[in-house]
Amino acid sequence: MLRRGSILILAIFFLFVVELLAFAFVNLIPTEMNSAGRTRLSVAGRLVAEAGLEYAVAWMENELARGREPTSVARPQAVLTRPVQDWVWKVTIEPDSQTPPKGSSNQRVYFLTSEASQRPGGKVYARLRCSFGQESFAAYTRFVDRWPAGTWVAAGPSQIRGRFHTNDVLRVQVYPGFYTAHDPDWPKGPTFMGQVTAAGRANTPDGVQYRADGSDPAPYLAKGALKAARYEAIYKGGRSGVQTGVAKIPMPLGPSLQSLAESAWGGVPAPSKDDTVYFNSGGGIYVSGSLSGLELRAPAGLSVQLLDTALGPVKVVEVHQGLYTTPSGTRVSAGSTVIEGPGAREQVRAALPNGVVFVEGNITGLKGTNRGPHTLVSRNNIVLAEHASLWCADAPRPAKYDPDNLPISNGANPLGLVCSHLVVPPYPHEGEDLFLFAAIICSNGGSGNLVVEDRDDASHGGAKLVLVGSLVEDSRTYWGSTQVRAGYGAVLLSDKHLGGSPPPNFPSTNHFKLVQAVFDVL
Amino acid sequence: MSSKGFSLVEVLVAVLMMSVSLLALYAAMTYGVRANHHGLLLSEATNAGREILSLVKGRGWAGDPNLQSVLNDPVDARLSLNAPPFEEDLAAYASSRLKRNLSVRRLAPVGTFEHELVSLKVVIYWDEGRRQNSLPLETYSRL
Repeated sequence: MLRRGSILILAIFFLFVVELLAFAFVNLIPTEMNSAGRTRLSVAGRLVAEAGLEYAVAWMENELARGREPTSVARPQAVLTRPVQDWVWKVTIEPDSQTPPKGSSNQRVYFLTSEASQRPGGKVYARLRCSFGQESFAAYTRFVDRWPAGTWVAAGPSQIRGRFHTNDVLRVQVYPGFYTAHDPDWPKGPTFMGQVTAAGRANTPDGVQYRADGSDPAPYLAKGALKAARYEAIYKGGRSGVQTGVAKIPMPLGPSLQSLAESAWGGVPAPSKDDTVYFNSGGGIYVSGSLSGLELRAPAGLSVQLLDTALGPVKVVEVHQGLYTTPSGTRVSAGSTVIEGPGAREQVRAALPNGVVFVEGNITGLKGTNRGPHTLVSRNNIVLAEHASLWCADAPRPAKYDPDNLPISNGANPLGLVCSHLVVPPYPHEGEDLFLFAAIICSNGGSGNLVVEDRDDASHGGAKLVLVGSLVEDSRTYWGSTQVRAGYGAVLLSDKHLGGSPPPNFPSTNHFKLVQAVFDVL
Repeated sequence: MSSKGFSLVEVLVAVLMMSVSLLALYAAMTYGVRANHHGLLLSEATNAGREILSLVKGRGWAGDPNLQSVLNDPVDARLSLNAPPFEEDLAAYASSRLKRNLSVRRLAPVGTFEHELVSLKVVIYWDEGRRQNSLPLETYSRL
């Protein structure tokens, strides 16, 4: 039985319940809205912060290209800022401990922090913390500054198994039937197995110049539409595997050599110009004359260099593992360096040199197996010993090049060669492949290249030049000096470790690559 | 006067109060549904804009002279998200109600390092009832 007025009480009660539901619902609406709004702010802010990083990296590359350091003693930290739409980004640039002005490394590394806000000094909506390192020339399997006239890259099965760059127009020779050929090696990959970049552009749809005798060479149709299968036959990744019109990368010249020389001096004053070998405990080995022989040897636990100078042979023993007994009976522990020879008989040094050997003259008779990180530099030429390959201690030593069993190292023993020309003397044994495990820069300001003398693979049993590493040249290809169009059938294999762990103080490009990135959630 | 039943006044007051509260609830729900819908579209627009910029940046298309004219949509045009050159990449957006306008421009004329930087700006448009919404997103890319 209901009393008068009870329905009002009930109505108020139900009203209260409904109000509660409405209140809860209305409270959820802004949550949904706010979530979408926060996502928008976060994404927009992150894009603006990325814009700041792109700008800052371009600025750093420009500073280096102009011979200026991005940071200095007077400016240990650089700060850049710029508006983008309704946002503002601010980037702070700091060098790492080895980078000028703190150090003198050829491989500069900077820490960048980019923040995005909606007004200068306002709330930060996105923050990116990154480190960028200069990209080493050792990251390129092949790098050609300028193509000699009339020279083309022949399209064939997997000849260049890593990154390729030229500051010139890329020219590709496509032989008739290439696209339909069923070469036994064909399934092993396209001609370029890594990213291809060219600063020059031909007046073609993709900027690459193609040539063929009597057949259709281009991988695109007349109006520019691509033929995907053809691109994939030439470039790994198809059309995306080749980019033209990119920024030029200057060849390493004077400043890089000076940095290497200073690295060999190791902080001591520049030595005199007398024919002398200087062993610098804080640096490397500096030779003011020439070396008539340099052998890299890698017995178990030891790396031995024999430097044969005008003064006579000098032996440098780097003890990596175990003990070593010098000829006079002194026991030397791991981590030491033993030097024998004129003016340095049986000296024992506690620390290994930094691995840089800098020679003012020529290095001739180079051969052997490298152990440990080394960079050998000559202001002039490096000439290999006759009938000698350059091996890596941790890589297999195949008798012949075999695409199914590639001789790749584990990156623990990178060898770098920097010179004007690297000369390979005539190879007396027909049919034997020549292996070079090294990152090579041949540059003398215009015509530095790998010179393979008097070699014609067709008449020598199909022997190949197998470079496991990197080849950087000025303006000639690696074909022989005396038979320009008849040289080794070359196979260029990339060493995937070299870019990240290049030989000590190996020259770097003026490009920076991202090493590490952290996106702070704010 | 009997104590059983409800008075007319009571019923009228109760009906009035319930009507007001239900109307308020209806309004709140309508607003909520719209807000939810707006949030979903805003999220979709954000993702679509980010994806377009990532595609252009990641592939280095902004540096390709042959693509630069294709990438630049006509001023004030509102194209479908998968309009050229994104026919294949954004095919999933073919039936989306979102529209786009993409522009690519160098930061500076020849002669400075900023010439090697391009600004990539995309504006995503969509209609909600009679209201038109837009979301601009911008970043830079090195050539």
